[in-house]
Amino acid sequence: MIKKSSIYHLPVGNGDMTLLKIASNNRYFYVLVDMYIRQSCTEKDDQCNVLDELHNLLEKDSDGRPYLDALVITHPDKDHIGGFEKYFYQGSPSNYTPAKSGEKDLIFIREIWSSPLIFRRKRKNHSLCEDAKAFNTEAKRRVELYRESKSVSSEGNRIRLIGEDIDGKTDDILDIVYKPEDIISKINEVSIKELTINIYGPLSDDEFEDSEALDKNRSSVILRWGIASHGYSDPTNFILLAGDASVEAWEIIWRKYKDAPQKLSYDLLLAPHHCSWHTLSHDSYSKSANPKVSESAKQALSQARTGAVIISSSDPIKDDDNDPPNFGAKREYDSIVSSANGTFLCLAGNVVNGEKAPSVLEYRLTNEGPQKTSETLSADSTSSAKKRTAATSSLIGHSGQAIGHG
Amino acid sequence: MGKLKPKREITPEIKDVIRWLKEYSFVAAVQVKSCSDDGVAISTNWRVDLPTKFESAGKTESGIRSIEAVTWVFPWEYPLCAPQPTLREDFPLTLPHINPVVEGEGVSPCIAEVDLTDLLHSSGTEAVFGAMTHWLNNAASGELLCPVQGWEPVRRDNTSGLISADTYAIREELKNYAPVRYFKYRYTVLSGDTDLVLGHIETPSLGSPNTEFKAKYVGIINGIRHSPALLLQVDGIVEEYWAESVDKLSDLKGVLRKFKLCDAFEARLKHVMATSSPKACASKRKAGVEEFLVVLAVKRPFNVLGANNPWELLTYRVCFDGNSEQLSDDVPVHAPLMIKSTCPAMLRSVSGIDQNAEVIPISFIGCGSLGSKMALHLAKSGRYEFSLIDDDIFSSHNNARYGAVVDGFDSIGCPKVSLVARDIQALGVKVKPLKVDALELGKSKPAIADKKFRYILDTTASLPVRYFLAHHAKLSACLMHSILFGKATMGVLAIEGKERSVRVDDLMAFTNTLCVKDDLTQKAMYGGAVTRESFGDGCSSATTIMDDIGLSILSAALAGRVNKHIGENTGPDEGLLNICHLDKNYKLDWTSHARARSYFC
Repeated sequence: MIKKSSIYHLPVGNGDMTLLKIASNNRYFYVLVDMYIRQSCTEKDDQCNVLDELHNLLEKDSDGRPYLDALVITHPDKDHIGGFEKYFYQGSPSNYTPAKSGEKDLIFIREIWSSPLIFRRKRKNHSLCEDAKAFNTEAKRRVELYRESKSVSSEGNRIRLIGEDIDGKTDDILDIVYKPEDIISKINEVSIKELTINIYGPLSDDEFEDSEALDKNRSSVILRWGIASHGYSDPTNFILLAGDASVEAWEIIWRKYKDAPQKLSYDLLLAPHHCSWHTLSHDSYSKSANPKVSESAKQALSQARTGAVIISSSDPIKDDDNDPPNFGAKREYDSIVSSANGTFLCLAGNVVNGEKAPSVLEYRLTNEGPQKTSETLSADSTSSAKKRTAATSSLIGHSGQAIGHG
Repeated sequence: MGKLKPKREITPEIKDVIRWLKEYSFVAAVQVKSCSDDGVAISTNWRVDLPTKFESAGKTESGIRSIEAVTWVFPWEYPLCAPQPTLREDFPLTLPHINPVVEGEGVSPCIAEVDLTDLLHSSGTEAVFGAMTHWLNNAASGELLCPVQGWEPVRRDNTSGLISADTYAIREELKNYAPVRYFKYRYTVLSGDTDLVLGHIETPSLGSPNTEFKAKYVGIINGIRHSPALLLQVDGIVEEYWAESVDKLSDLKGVLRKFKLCDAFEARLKHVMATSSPKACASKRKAGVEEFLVVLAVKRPFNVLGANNPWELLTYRVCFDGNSEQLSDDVPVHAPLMIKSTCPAMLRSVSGIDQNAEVIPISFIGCGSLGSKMALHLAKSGRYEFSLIDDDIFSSHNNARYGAVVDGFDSIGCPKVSLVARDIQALGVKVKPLKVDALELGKSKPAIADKKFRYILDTTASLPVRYFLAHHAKLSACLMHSILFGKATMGVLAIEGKERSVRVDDLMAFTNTLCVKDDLTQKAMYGGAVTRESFGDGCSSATTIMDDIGLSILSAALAGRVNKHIGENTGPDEGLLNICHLDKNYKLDWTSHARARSYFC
């Protein structure tokens, strides 16, 4: 069975968790962009057990470790990094030990992609949750290894920074720093011809009018993933993942790219900041009588290709003043996709067959753009989770009796 | 569809699968359509995942709908045989991976690389339906053509004739662009039916200019027709997939025009008519041939399925038009199947050997049972070219365990080298047979083999030959010696070290010393009486009594060791002795000994 690239949006309430499974050279590369794995998801039946889903989707390496080729953290907020400390391995790869019986193995991260925020000192507007602190420790460990050896480390010790830090803090490690405008086509030191990533953020502090106020939401990593079908090199799927990038960030981005708006085009857009109004407006949705949409921010987010899907990774969106997710923002996104014959989806609403918990939303990334994968009904003999595991990704080639030869 | 038999009861197994289909998430509707001799036809509506950009339209640009009608015919013997799917009659036929379309039989998608019955028995009914789902989803996403799997060749619904060629050699020539090349084409017409044509394209090409193809190449000799073939090479990469639509000359010209090759074709056509048409043949008082061949070479964006190369070769048999000087546009053009002829490149490919691996010349001394089998094993790898040295002739009893099977009275008494060479040549592998005694040859040619032969393998089991090769021959090649003992219970492969030290006689002497401690070796070499029997007049026809099986196992294993040693391409300084014991249960047990030169010298 030919391997095919897919994207999985894991429903985590108001948070982001997206897995990219990129097929290249007859293998898969697994990239997780953000995570929000709450303890409750493993206990409550009205929440998707995203930890189980993630483990089902990942392969194990030759040492039996479930692994990611890369983990991308857009910014270190709890709803983007929750679960890192508990469920992901940190430290020297040689010290990895299998989990005790009945427990899940920690996920081994071959390469980390992080914004340079890890170098910032704790400030009033830059507090870190426990997961973010653990992530910072691990990221810094990897950076120090690079600093010491001045060469890219082995798997499990690798790190790439997306964007330079202020005050020349990253000047001595520029070889592992991707800068805005760079194009990435490598994951975990492997060149992938099917992959073309544009970097649009984080924006540097001096690009903002108020450069003093460090705001994690302004500093989100913003990547546009261009992915070609397995074996091809011209991307046919464009996915814009921007963390919690704020209205100020989108205004700057529009200023930069308004003359080349196709660079911002997408087939799939994860509505920034869980469909927050503040992605599109400077005004408060609940406190302003007539909150105005920033036209330039909206323009930046309006480059939807035909059939584009905007996904709100959030709780259900109600017709009220809540933010995020925000009903007004949803209305704006609806207007964007309607002009492109597209769709707006809320992950919380991706509930199959009357089940209580929302399901993982999967798209295959094909020659003709994203192709939503049908939900399989429970009547099918393989469960949806089992069906998605790498080991059983092919019903034909990898299950049943071997077909021998004479 | 066979005759309707509505009263026949649907089997419980088919009823079960109908129930299962009704629950299957990709099926929107299920209905028993008919029962006939062929089986039970079940119509289903299959859900297709459309790419998001086609969702609002409900169908793709190529015409795939979000719900596709699929009819499954379950044979009465199901589950012994798998159900077969067909699609709606107006399903887009321009897509790849559709089986040749037979009028009135519906569109049959090729949904799995293996036979559906094999898939059914390997992985169950769900896998068969899963394959249908994958196929339709791939059709919708424009991924039926996949670079990883390979480019699906143009579908030809009506093929006529079978043309073989060394397609590797043709594709090699395509590395240098030339719009047109001439080849020699020979064919036979079976039973006078122009559909039953077996043809062959001779490689390499003759070249591009008209002057390269001469009238003397055309004619009928012993029923074999000789005619020209034109290879037309498209410049650039063609990403469009199409189904064959050529059935007359004007169609072919249309295709050539599309690729800007029509002028080149027309220019050669005049020469083809002048040299090869029935009228041209008649003017030279030769019987006329019926057709010539056109091969269109189209470069695809990735490797063509089964070719490991992006050049697709489309062959057309163009019929001559009676006695006229020009071909009318409506002369029939047939689309034959093209198959690879056996050639070293194909042998390498099938054997899993790198196409770029260098060809290794090896000289065999001795074409007996062991030598013939070892030579053929190595020849089938496509990696070697041979000289064969032996002065013996073939006797009918040799058939009991010879590499070649010799049929017919004429071949009895034939030199063994000729018989083995015949089989090696049939593989398309270069071989030079020499019916000569190695000792006689050595008198005039102490080097035995030409300089290009880097290895000499002595399989004669002749002590004088071994002595000559060890002491008198002036060899530049690496000498190997292979021999069996104990009625094919022990095989030996001795390989001389660098600068002929340690020599093969030293290594064989060492083999004798092993008998002191090794009972198996002693028993094979010296234990028991060797049974011999004569199968002709006189005692010279006496041969050892043993069956072919053990000998075949040992000869294959020894050939494998030769191949491995040569493949490693790093001849050690030491002499190598490989000994293989074969027990009664056909289990092989190898021991190896490296002997340093100082040991004997």
